[in-house]
Amino acid sequence: MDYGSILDERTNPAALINAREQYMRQCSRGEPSAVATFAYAHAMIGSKNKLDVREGISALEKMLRDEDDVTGKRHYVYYLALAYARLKEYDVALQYIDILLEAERNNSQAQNLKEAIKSKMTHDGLIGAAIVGGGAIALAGLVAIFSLARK
Amino acid sequence: MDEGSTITTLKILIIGESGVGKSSLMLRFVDDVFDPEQAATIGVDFRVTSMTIDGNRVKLAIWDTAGQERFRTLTPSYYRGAQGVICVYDVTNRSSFEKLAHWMTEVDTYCTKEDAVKMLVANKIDMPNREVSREEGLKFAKRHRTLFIEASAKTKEGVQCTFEELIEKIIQTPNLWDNERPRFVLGQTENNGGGSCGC
Repeated sequence: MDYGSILDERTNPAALINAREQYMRQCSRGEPSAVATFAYAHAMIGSKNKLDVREGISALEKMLRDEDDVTGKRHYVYYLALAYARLKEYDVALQYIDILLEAERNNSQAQNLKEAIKSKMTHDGLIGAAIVGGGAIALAGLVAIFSLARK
Repeated sequence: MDEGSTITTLKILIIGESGVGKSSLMLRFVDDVFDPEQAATIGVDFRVTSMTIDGNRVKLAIWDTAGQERFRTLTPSYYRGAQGVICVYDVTNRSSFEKLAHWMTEVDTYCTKEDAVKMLVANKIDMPNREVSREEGLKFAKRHRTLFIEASAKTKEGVQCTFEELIEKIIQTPNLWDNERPRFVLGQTENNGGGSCGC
């Protein structure tokens, strides 16, 4: 087994189905719990199916918008960086991880993820080719929210 | 670099309450650093390192899990295949000791390898305000049949020992890892036709 990088880690298919079912069941009864929603989003961004990863991303982005607590925000930002990197959207991934690193400069876990993203970019020949598109603009608003909460 | 000569890769899990020093123990062991303001782990973090025990080189994948309940998702997948579990408490925080039984239950529930080696680590023994004595820790360890060590990620005391003892015990339990053993014999070089090489 290769433990090379967290970017290569994938959710076990059975675990994914489980998390999705739990979430859907709660949705059908009303507002799903924060724990179930996060478990679902976390499982989805580890799916081999890119559409699942996108779905996980929208769930995480919604949670990030609705969250007031810094503990929650730092989790969502980290996993968004991870998810975008898995989609090879490295520019957005780097922006998310930089939000976390700006607040926690010595966070070695965040530093490692950033290194892993950069090394993937090098591997894919994308260094220097990061395109700042529409996604980045929506992100700018979030940066402000996050840094504000830290103060 | 030295991968060809390792006899196996072991999955080691670090668990325990939030703030007891799980990441600090891992980072002291892997990178020999200590950050007094270590950020809380997000979900799960893992590091790969290697060490030599009794002349055998083993690769270690150390999984450091978040202590915060809300973000500990997919717990079973963290435990899957783990050969060793390090359960940490903080000797200056009584409640982190009292929650140990809960962590032991989790280990017993989710560990897929029945004879996975467990180790109890009493961290932060450099601090003056101790709330849990060595005897209490030992007693708990005996009752739950785990190895036991008192340590300080800050001063390094006991950290190397924690991993050495754990890995040694795992290596002495071939059931835990022998089936994943590569097919070459120690002392011989790999045959060039082997298709399992990573590069």
